Amino acid sequence: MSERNRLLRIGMWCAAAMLAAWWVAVHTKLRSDPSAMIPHRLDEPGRLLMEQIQQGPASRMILLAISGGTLEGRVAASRALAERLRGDGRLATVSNGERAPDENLARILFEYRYLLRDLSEADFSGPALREALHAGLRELRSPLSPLHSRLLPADPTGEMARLLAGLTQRREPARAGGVWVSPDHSQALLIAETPMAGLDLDGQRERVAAIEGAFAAVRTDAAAALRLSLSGPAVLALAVETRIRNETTLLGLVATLGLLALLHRGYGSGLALLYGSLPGLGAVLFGAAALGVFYGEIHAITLALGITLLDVAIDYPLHLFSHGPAALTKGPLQGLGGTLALSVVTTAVAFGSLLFSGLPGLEQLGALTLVGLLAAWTITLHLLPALPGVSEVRRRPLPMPTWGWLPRRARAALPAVLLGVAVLLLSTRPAIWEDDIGALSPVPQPLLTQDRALREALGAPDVGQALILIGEDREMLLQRSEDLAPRIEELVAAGAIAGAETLTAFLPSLRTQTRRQQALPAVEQVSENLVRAQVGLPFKPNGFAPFLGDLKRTKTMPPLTAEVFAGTSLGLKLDALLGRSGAHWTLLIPLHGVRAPALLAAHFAERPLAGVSYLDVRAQTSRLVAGFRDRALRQMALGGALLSLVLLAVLRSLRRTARVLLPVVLALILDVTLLAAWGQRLSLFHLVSLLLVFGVSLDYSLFAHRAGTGDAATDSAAAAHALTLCMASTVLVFGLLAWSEIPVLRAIGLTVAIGVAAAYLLVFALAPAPASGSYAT
Amino acid sequence: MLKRLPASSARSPLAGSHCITRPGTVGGAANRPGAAFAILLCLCAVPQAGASGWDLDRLMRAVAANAQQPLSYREEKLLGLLETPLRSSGRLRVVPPNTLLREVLEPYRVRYVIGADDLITMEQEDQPPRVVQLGRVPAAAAMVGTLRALLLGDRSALEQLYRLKVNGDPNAWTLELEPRDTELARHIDLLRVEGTEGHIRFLSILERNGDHTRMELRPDE
Repeated sequence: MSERNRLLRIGMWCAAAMLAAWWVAVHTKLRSDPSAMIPHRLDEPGRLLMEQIQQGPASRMILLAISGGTLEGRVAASRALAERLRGDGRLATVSNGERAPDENLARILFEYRYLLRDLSEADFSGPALREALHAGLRELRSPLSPLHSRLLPADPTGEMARLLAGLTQRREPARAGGVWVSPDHSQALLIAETPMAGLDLDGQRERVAAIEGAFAAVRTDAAAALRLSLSGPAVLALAVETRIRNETTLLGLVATLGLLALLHRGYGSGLALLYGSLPGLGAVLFGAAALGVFYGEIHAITLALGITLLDVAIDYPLHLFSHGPAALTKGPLQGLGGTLALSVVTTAVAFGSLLFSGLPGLEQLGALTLVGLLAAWTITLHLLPALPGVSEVRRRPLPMPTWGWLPRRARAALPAVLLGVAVLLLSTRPAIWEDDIGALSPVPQPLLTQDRALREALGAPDVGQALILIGEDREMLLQRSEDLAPRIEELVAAGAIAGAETLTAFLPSLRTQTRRQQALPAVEQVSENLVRAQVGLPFKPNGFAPFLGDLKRTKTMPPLTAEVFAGTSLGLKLDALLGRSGAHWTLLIPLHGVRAPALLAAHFAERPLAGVSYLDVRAQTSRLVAGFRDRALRQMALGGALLSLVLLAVLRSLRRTARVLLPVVLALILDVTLLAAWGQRLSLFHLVSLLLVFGVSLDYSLFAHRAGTGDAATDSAAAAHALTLCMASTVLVFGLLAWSEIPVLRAIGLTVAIGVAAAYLLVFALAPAPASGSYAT
Repeated sequence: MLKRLPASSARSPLAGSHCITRPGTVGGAANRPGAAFAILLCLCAVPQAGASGWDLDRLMRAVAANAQQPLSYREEKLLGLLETPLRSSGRLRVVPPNTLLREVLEPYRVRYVIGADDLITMEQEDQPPRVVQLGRVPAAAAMVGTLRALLLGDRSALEQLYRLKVNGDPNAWTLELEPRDTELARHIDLLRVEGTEGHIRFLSILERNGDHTRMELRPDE
């Protein structure tokens, strides 16, 4: 290669890398929301619910708990913290239970009180009114008389008390000293609502910092023994982000140092690590740029998994270094380039199966790894040989197993033994697959437990269980919700659910409101009844004029609409549960205390209602995950068949193809068996990791095969050297991940480290001994 | 309202000596020509109280010492909604640490348990108990909690809600409570308590809307 040519190549790659980096930096958005793992094929209600979970008010909630110190101290701190945060203005609302129900809401409910319940003439008859007045007198003698003496003139029948009781019936937190506390009074509880959606992690981070700062200020005033703990979707996401960053920073540092030592030992040159990392870096860079071009964005999880899968690319330069650049120039199939090409193509076929997974994040992962593999391959072949000093990277002797170390008789028995152990072990396991994606949640268990406890204590909604209504407009939905009421009562009576949060208690449909207006008796009639009812009672004759006036006004006033609630606490709830989504409107009815999801699902399957669906997020995601897994397995099987055909075409022998594939298949079986023995249940992330194991072990097997067929004396030593370093580096990097406390990282680390180590041993064990040269001819 | 007070006092069986001897100091006194004089009297009373060693602290401690004594009460409410006073009587009993039992005996029987956390439980014969939580309505909670705090001699609870002023001597003292909180002041004008030593004898609550509650207390035999 001439000097000019060399510089041209380096310059070309530099320009390409800069272009890709610019594209990624300017035109590619990083998305960190969970939508990457939500299938395209999710049905409409499922999609809506996911939207709610990601952007709805529940995602904006930060739950606060003050513990430690004395009860008085916690109560005082709750008040002080709430006051400080309300003054701060960076949070939309801060509630700790000490405030009156929002006065605007009470005013609205009072104004429309005669439209919020079915009332008839009988409710305003003489006897009914007389009974109500007697009850009123009783209330006036009670400790609550100051309230009742104000309410009675306009509301002698106690409509407002009934409404407020309904409003507070929603599970209110316990109280002490006038603020919310946990049931055992050991914590003071608050809820803050951020102005931005839970997905906006930067905004959320700032709000969390504001809360912590305010608490620090409050604590210096009060007792120092108080502690604040936070929870809520955004808080958990932030905790996970911090944790992943801390862990990966540490692991990355250790891995880099380890790799440096390893490659220095293997090649006696620091250039090996520098140059060896280029194909991998290039793979991620060009892969990301490709996603930027195709999709305009990358899911964070795609990037993370992509960097993992593209770790296979570090093997390519190692092959090059171990064999020496000269090896590239041999014949197309005999030379290094041919084997490398076959390895890249087969790995690409395996990774490519992700393209059809139906999950946006994994589709992107397929595209990213395909482009990445291609980039790594061309960088290894095209750029690396042109780099200055690359020829000085020479292999140094390493302790290595010998080719074909397993005795002939043992070889024949090995597949049967492995298979037998696998079947025996896997059949005794209760479950191999993990369908509950929550089990792999990166949120540490103590945080999850705390979140659940806080949620329970605060009565914060759990949106995992809901009925979803779809309709053309708001009115249609409200009518449907009303029509649904008897079914809900039936379900409550049957014990399937404890209750449902229906909006129509406070926002009836126009149909119902009009009907109620018409059903109200004429005010003259009620006035007469009232006069009769008052006989012998101490009420002033004209005392109930406000009541009669309101009744008269109600009969003709414009009905209550959702807009009226704007700015009240119920308005927030309305926005969360009732909204336009594309062409139609949707209404959510959160369910409480769902005891028998299966019963509920069966109920709505047997007696379907137009526009009403029951959604059980957990069951739905489990179903989706299982469905995806089955599809992924089928596609991997298809991919396996496809690449067997590729191998067959290239190797032109059924026997050789089988020899190449045998260690790969055995490595996968051994990997799964060992994982099961370890107590791991296989998830999506294990499957993706198995893909990597597949790609890497196929690469090993192909090179072992090449060693068996090539110029035996030099090539088999070079191949063994390369494979040893490949294995050592992969096991190093992924073995470190296996120590992670984050379930997903641990799953990936364990699977890959075990699988790759197994593949390495099996490839060496089952390779033909070079001396025998069994299939060299 | 004030026009009604002397009239109803005269008519009321409750109209004890306390009411009649010091009508001028009831809230709203500023409307009367003698108001300035009354205020002057009050001001003079302060050093006197100091001289006899009778102050808020002693009063509260004396009341707290008697807190657990069961009381009987007679209540009369003069409400804008009603033509005639609403009367009832019953028993009051403090259950340590801070629950008040209020049992209405006449004209019907019903029992209220005014607990901590602003919870009121209403227990009536042949009816399931009803619980009302007042925490969401601070003014109502304050109004309900005041009687409990008074009977308990809970000075700090009272001072959170009211400015307190003591007049008189141990044998005949009066305590005036004026709301601090603007929210509470929207509902309550003035509370006036009269007593002897550690015993509360009379309580008057004057509300902003003109409603007036008068309660007479004596040890329950």
